[in-house]
Amino acid sequence: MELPRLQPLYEKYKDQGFEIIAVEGKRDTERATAFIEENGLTYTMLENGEGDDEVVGNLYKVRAYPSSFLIDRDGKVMYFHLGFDAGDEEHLEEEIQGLL
Amino acid sequence: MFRRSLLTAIVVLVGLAAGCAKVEEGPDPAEVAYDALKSAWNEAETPEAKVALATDYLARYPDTKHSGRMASAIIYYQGQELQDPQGAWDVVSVAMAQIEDPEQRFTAGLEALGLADSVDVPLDIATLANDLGAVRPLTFDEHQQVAEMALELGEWTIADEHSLGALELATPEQLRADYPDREFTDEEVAVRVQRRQASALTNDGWALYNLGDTELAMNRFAAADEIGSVTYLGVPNTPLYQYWGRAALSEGDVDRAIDLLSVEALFGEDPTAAKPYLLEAYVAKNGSEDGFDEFLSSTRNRMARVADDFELLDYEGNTRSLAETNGKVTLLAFWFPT
Repeated sequence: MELPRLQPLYEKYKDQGFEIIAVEGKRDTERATAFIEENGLTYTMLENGEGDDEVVGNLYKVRAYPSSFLIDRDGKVMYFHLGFDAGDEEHLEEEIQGLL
Repeated sequence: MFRRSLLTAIVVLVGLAAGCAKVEEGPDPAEVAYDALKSAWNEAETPEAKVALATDYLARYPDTKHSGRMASAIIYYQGQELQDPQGAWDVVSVAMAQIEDPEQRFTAGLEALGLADSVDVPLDIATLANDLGAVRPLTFDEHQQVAEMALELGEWTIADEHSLGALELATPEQLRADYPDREFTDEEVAVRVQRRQASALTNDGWALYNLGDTELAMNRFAAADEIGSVTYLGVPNTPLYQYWGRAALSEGDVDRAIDLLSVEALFGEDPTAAKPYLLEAYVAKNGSEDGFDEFLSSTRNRMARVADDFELLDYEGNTRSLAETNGKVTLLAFWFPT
């Protein structure tokens, strides 16, 4: 599971101006909250909206999970990443360092 | 290739597990043995054990409706997990020679193509498709599978033929027929049909380009670009820009090649696939690799889009927005709990 692997990155870089926003796409509130608590995730966790407020598929055109977008200080999307395999966080960390 | 086989393996496993409770009434020994295999499968903890089960089943009952699945399981567990493609090929090829049902031979054959390629055995993809075609028309997905496999194997004529077969089936009627249980709106149908068309046109363009019909190939690419869907970052949901960019590079249209390949290499789902060709195009334009990294980062800066703001609720019921993170580096991750 990918999200817990992001927690160390968040803790390491949050003081330098790094944020994580995780949006749960399927509105499975019960399982999502249980998962968040179980894994001690402390970054921002949001739930996808419905209808016009649906963000994941309509606005960001996400077709597969997990999909991640890395946004720079100017609000521009610099990287897209599909999936989250072991080892991906090393690559991600380099990209974060490059933008900080 | 790996990804496709992995998917198949998952389908195989789900299929095996889902079938567990089913009790066959007839005394068909192949079905009795299949039921036994399903229980044993769930107990089998190692790839070796799974390979042994599937191999044993195929040896005893080579030509049943389960042959394709058995072959996929062997290809995945023995060929990939245990890294013994030759051993997997030996088992699968013997079984395939005994499979009479064109449906099963097609399924097993498609799975075995990559394997055959890795042990350097030519496997005739056209015959597999033609045999099945003699029994019933191929579906859109089957034409696509054959075309994509043929592209991978460099069988351009077959790829062309089946891309056109797929294109012919990229119609609203056919789409609805393929999903009888889904109630699509006309708009959803239109979007999906265009996706199908774009994908078939992309594949056909690459086949035609390799067959030497450059003009028609370029028309196909342009048509696919016109109707195809793109990701949030503007990358087609097909390998269009990779194929088109490589074709443009070979034709000496270096600027266009750089544009197309940059999109794919900087913002695509699989950046590594396009990057070597982008480097090639860069060298063709600039004479050397010098400055390539700077080129990548300045192009990324120039092409990157601003992330759309949104408002959503957190789990305490507070409205939160992406704009709250303005001025920070933000990872926006979309997920769901499994």
